[in-house]
Amino acid sequence: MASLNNEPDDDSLMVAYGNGDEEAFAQLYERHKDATWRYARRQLNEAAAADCQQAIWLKLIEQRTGYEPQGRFRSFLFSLAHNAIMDEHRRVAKQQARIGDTEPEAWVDESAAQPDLDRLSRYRRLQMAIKRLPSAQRDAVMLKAESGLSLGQIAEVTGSNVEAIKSRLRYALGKLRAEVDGKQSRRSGAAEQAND
Amino acid sequence: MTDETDETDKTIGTGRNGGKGSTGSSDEAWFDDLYSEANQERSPAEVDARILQAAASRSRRRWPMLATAAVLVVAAGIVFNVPDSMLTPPSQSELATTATPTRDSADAMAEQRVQDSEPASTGSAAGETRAPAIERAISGKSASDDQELRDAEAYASQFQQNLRMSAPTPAPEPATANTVEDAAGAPPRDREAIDRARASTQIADSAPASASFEQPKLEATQPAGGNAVADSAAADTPDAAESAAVTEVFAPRLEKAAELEAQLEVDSSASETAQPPAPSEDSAIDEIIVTAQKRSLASFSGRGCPTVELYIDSDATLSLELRQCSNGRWTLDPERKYCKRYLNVSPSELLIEGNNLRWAGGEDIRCERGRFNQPEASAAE
Repeated sequence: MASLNNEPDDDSLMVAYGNGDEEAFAQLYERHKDATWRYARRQLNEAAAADCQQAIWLKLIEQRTGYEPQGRFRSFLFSLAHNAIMDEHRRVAKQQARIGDTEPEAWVDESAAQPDLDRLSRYRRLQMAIKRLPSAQRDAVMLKAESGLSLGQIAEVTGSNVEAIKSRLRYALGKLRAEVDGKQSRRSGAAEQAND
Repeated sequence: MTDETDETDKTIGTGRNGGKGSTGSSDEAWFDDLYSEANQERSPAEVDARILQAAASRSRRRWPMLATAAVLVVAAGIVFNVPDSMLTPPSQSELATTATPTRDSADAMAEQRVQDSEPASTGSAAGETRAPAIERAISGKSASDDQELRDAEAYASQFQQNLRMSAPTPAPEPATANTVEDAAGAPPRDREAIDRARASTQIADSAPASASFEQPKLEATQPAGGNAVADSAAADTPDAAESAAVTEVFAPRLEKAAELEAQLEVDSSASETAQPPAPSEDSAIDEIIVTAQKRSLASFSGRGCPTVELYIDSDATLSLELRQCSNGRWTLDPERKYCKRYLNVSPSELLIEGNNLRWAGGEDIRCERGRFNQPEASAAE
């Protein structure tokens, strides 16, 4: 189950960790921590993303002994990540409903409200544009960007179907490009009515 | 679910790990180029440290239990039933400190006890008394699956029962959640007493003076009754001096065995039952797991609160994730979300009351203006 460069694959590492090999977990974490972090961070503020990052990996730790190696570690990992982020969204929504909080949602950075985008890099503008996407589109974009999963797998992770994911990505990417570069693609107009 | 490799041709664009997609458009290519230029953001080191610590902690959790079980077997063998090769004889110096006639008489008495107590203590033939998991632990083999742990726990439980049966007089039960009301004598009916008793067994390394597991002593003057060991002791002891000598030699080992067993019980029960730990000064505790009490969560909606974990480091500081159970989840203080999440406190300063964490001094840990109002500046941030 090792890859061509003799590095153990994710499944092997997960199984090894389930058998008590701490180093295996360290390797797994090193491989994927930045991807899960960026996936969470693009959808949540920093504190919430830190919570999510922790929740994702603690969940994985909890499930170490029950993991079945079927070559789908990344699907497994990003399913945990997706669920953690959805939980955070729901938690914040409930909290705001309960206390009548008028602050921006917890996953929206204060900086996102700053109007002077010209001073920011294109990437920074892209980040902010991603945050303004509808949550389902944003989730699809970030899964696509960070997980390396196929459309089918993204559909599985999100509990959707392939066609819906394709649609979300098309609308989202068109909208992002329009916001960052001011270039209106043919589809970007339709993105305003993008589905969630 | 599909395999991760079976739909790569459907991947849109050039993701970080994917190839050019069949449905690639200019928007997708634009996104991939731009995103890959600057997706260098890294997971924060602070978060990494927490997660790696948690992972290591979970992995280590099993080993102390197995090691404890291994030592326990040796101790059990000394007391009850062990091949000669495993039995560590009392040293000459130990015997010299007692008023025993000879070492031979002590050994003979031990052997007699072993023979007499075999059926009661093991229910099986000699050499077959150790649980498989413990055998593996001794032999150094990996024993990581839950079944093996359950075996070890079951064996420990059996050993505990045997130990109680072997005591000449009824010994106080270890004050666990399940047995406190069954203990000999007047059971502590009031809630406070039960909580105290539970707490005393939650902390495995409590000082001996406060430990709830009071080890039965072998006393020469104790009446024979109720079990094979006691009967044999009474029948075979020619005089009080000899019996006292044996007691002095073996009692410390019995105590050690019981102490280890109590610790094993804590390891196994803490993750399954809802028991708040009591403060402890002992720095040898590796980890305490506190599971939310379900009854206290009845009023919450959602999926219930997950386990709260308190990690006590080797330097006796406690890495505490401060959360409150709200709407079925453990959360930070909702008023101030941006407090640092981890503190370092002395275990003795911590009290857990229901779902709230408090300082021993009675002051709530509160998040104010982005900081916890803990004593001094002991925040780990």
